[in-house]
Amino acid sequence: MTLAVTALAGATLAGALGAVAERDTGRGIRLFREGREAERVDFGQLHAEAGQLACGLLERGVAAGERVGIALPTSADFARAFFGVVAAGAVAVPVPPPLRFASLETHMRRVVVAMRKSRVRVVLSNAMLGALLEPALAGAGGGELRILDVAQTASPAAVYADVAAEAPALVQYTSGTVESPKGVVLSHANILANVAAITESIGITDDDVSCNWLPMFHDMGLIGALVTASLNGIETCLLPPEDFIKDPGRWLQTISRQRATLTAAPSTGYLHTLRRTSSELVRELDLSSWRLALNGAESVDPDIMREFSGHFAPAGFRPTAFLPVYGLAEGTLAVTSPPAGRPVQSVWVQRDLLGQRVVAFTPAGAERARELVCVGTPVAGTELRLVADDGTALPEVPAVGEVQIRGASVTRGYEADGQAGQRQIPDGGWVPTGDLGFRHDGELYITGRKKEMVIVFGQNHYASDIESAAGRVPGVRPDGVLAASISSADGEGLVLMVETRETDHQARADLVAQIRQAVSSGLGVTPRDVVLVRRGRLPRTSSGKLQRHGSDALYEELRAQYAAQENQHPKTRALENRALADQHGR
Amino acid sequence: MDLQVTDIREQTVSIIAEQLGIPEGEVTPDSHFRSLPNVDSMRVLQIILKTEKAFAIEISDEVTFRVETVGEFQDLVVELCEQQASI
Repeated sequence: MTLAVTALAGATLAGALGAVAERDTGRGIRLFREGREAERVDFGQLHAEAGQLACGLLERGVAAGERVGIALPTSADFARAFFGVVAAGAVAVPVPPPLRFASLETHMRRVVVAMRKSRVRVVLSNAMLGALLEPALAGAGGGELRILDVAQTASPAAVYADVAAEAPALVQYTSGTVESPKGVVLSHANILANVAAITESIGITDDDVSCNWLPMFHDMGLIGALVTASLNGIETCLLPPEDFIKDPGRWLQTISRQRATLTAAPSTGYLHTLRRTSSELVRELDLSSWRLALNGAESVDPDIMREFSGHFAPAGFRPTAFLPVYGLAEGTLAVTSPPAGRPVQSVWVQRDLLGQRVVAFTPAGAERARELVCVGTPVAGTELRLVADDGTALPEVPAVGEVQIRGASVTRGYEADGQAGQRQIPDGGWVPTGDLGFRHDGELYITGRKKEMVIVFGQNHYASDIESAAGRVPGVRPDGVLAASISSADGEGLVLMVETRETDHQARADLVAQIRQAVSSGLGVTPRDVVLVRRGRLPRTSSGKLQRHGSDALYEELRAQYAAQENQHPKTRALENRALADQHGR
Repeated sequence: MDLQVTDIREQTVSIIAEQLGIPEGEVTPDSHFRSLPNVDSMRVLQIILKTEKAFAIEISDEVTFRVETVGEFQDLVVELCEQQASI
């Protein structure tokens, strides 16, 4: 464990950064844009500038405990803003960036809902983004929000507010629905406990160099890539996510040139890297310094890890670098991890029985079986239990239950409506995660989710949000949309099954386009497929609610059935559909 | 000049169609990007990158948050190409 993290008890985030600054190592945050080092701020400067920004915020009337939005891309300014807000004793609320080629207004309406909930008055941004956001926020009903440019807000003097370790430091809006977003409130103590736990679990030393591209409004990016690395005082290389998406080779080249040792990404991030890196480029890389490649934030695909390891072996990548981890914002970030450096472990279980929450082990590669990756044991200071639907704790034998967590890193509550306080977690501090899993040989395996959620590229999307966005499109029956998550070689994907009365070929094509736009522009997740079905075709419970269980199998069935139909001559099919509709009296 | 503008518009459509893996006929000026098949943030960035390369222009980050339709994107590319030519 590094020097700074050992002395974190009772400290604040700014205090911990101050301890790093005092060591005066010259190390810091280095931002790489388009393959070149574009910005650099050492931890001494960062600590000083955070204090100056804190002073500027306090001078502008920001009070202790007040929520302050941060709308900034991956940059030194983001680090200044985050540590500046917490140094002022205020609470950072990272704002997701707008989508390209999409309605800015729709995005802003979502942002405004969350900002209102947190009673945000001030949003820290930069000149470029601020000019874009200000009118858009006003147009979306957020005219009361004041946007401040980080560069113009700092004061010459530095101030570090005296805050309690238990005071809130961060609100992460990563769960909940559009209508009712859930902001996870995390204290200085929560975050520092998790940083210490991660540090111990993966054995961070002064020699480590981290290199990441994850967005800063995401828990794995903010806590993993920025805060944990900074508070350990290790060289912290960051790339904007857009740079990685355009060319993942840049990430690899930065790892290679900077002799990086630590990375964290979702499974689809490693897949994107694998697909877009030619064997020629692999030969130019030296990945032998890469000690740990944490793999989490979505389900971990063992095939991708094997392929990745094989593809990059000529560059010196070691398969034991892969570390499948489990975590979520409610636990700050890390919840479980296997021992660092241990080869990835997996088991094979019967797929069908998992749906019934039964764990039946099979030989590797058996038919109708699924390989599940071990995500290890809880990190220091975090407890975990598995709970049946009736709330009773499950015995220590392989049985699938909901994962619940509590401990030093775990949130004490969610942001509550219309008041400065927070909603407390009942039940002895146990926080339900919505994830399902079982224990085998004392270690955790995640099998799926209780919450109706689709995770694409590490981002959580609620089925109910997707369904209501699609249900608002004219021509769609509002309660006749079923969103499902399907797994494929491309990772998890969203499919929609939509009931409509529409029979005309062109009108149906238009409807599909409108549904795509409503979901993609509104929520930032694009359906991989939209299947239109006749009304009443989706299964419902006795109370008339759509039945979600087995929706992936239903999709396969409907896709096959309707694909045959869509391929017929449009006119014939329309007539047939009309006849069918008449038969059903709809 | 007119012919050139038509070329730019057509080539932009080809890039979009190719990146999304759909027929060019499905990409019309009034199409909202988010209504086209296979659009996600990764492909949007690829479209921007390929367009920048094809016309040797630079599309600023800021404007990509304002563009919603294919036609708006074509207008932007034409404008940037004209600026390029006049330099």
